[in-house]
Parts: sequence; C-alpha cells; structure tokens
Amino acid sequence: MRYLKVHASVGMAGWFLLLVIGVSSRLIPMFLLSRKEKKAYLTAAYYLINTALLLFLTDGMLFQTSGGVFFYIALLAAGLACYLVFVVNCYQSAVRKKMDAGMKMTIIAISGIAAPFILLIIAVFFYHSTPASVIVAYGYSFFAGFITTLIMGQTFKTLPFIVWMHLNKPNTIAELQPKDLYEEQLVALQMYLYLPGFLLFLAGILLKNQWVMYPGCVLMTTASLMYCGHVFHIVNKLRK
Amino acid sequence: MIQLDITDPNYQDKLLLMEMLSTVKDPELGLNVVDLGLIYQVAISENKVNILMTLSTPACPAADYLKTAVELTASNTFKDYIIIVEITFEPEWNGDMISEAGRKELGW
Repeated sequence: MRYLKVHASVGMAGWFLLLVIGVSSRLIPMFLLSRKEKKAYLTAAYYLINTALLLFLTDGMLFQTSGGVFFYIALLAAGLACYLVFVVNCYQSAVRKKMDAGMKMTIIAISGIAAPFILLIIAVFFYHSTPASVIVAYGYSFFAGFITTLIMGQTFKTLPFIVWMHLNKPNTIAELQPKDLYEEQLVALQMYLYLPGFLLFLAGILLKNQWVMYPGCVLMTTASLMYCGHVFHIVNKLRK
Repeated sequence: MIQLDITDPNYQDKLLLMEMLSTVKDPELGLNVVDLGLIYQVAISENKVNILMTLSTPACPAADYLKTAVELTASNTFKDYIIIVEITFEPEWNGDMISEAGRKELGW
C-alpha cells in the first residue's frame, strides 16, 4: 500500500502536474498575448517540483521515513507558488484582457491548482486520523477539478483552430474564423453547470452526504454531455 | 500602426491597400492585421507592391495563413502588380503597436 501511495503521488505531481505546467506555460502567454514572461519563476517551479519528487520517490521507495514529508511538501508548494506567480504575471502583462469562456475555465482550473494539494497536505499530515473521504477528495479534486476543467476550457481554444486549419484551403482567404466553429455561449453554460456541480460533489464527498452529491452529479453529467455534443459538432464540420 | 504620408505620390494607393488589408483578420484574436500593427511597411512602385509585415510571435501557428491572406488581398486589389510579402521580426512585435481601436476591442 505504501508503494501504491508513492506511485499515485508521483504520477499526479510528476506526470500530470508537470505536463500541465509545461503545456500551459506555452499556451497561456500565447492566448493572452502576454508582453512579459517571467521565465525565472517557471525555471524555479521546475527545479522545486522535480527536487520534491526525487526526494519523495527516493524516500518512499528506499527509506520510508516520515520526517521528510514536511520538506517535500514545502518544496512542492513553493514550486506551485512560483508557477502561479508566472501565470499571474502573464495575465497582468496581457494585451488581451477580454477572456472567452475557454480561457476563463483555464484560469479557474489553474487558480484552483492548490485545492487538491491542500487536501493532500491534510491527508499526509493527519494520515492516521484522516478519514478516507479526504483522500478521495484529493484524487477527485485533482482529476475532476483541475485536469477536467483545464481540458474542458482548452478544448475550445485548440480544437476549433485545428479544425479551421483543416477546413481552410490553401491560397484562399478564410470566410470563417475559428470562433465561428463553436458556440461561445454554450461553453459559458457548460462552465456554469460544471463548476457548481464539481463543488457540490466535492462537498458531498467531504461531508459524506449523498444528497449533496446527487445534484452535483446531475450538473456535471449535463455539462459533460454538452461538452461531448459540442466537440462532436465541431469535429463534424470536417465532414462537410 | 504605420502612418501614411499624405504628400506621398502613392498615398491613395497605399490607403486603399491598407483598407483592404484591414479585412484580413488574425484567426485567434479576430482583430485585423492593420489594427494589430502587424503591417510594418507598404511600398508601391510602377508594377510592384512590397509589404513588410511581422507576426505576434515567431511561433505563430497561423503564420502561413496570414502571409497568404495578405498576399491574396494585395493581389486582388492590385491585379497586374507583382506582390512581395516579407516577414520580419525586427523590430519584435509588441502590444504597443496595436491601434487605439484594436486595444479597445481586446479590452485593454
């Protein structure tokens, strides 16, 4: 079980988190047209998170001490803080201040990046007394909160552009723009359904109350169906 | 955004060209290339139109499209002319090059 914990944490912080940080650090300044990028913060985030991971992995696999946990988590938190400073700086220096729903979802996902790690800290520091619901909430908030919100937002930033590139014939001036290939209001509605749904479901997990989970589940399912239909609608334009 | 000299003998042609280029939009931002400040220079001689332009970033995924769209718009406007579009990153584009109208549209 101990190895499984190491495996899961390294997977989430090592694979998902670093992948998301890497990709978003290129996409966010590009979409916002940021004038300045404080890359030193990004470099610091890279070294801090990777050092935390290496130490956690070595300790978890070989020594299995409990004293170092404070240190790894402090390093990870410092790395995340550096990344958030980088994102805030990108936004502050952005030429494009008006954000569409896709970009809003991305920013919400990144702003909420700390939530799963706060739950992780609670789960680690109060390992013996922590109810299983906090551990479930940690995994849930990482995948259904951070990763899913990010994917849902970024889909409508990248997919219409990719489809538009395919639709656009060489040596012609495009009549349609990528924003004409999807419904902005539908993305906004999807965001307004998904986020409260996510929060209700999270509250339901923490409170161990199924009646709080049900409406959350309905809202998230509705948003997911809308998302799938919308993606299909965009991709379907390639067939015409 | 480039300023046209009213005393230039090709002023009218350049004005027309800039107006036509204002119909070419950046696919991501939805703002036209003139207001974005991507057009650095236009020169019109007897049978040649030279356009010097830039991109918001060297890694712009719409680079080919923008160059082609500018080229086609210019050749549709000046049918018997040779159109030469060049891309430069000197000086590097920045937000200060966006026109007042463009800034308003972007919510700046």
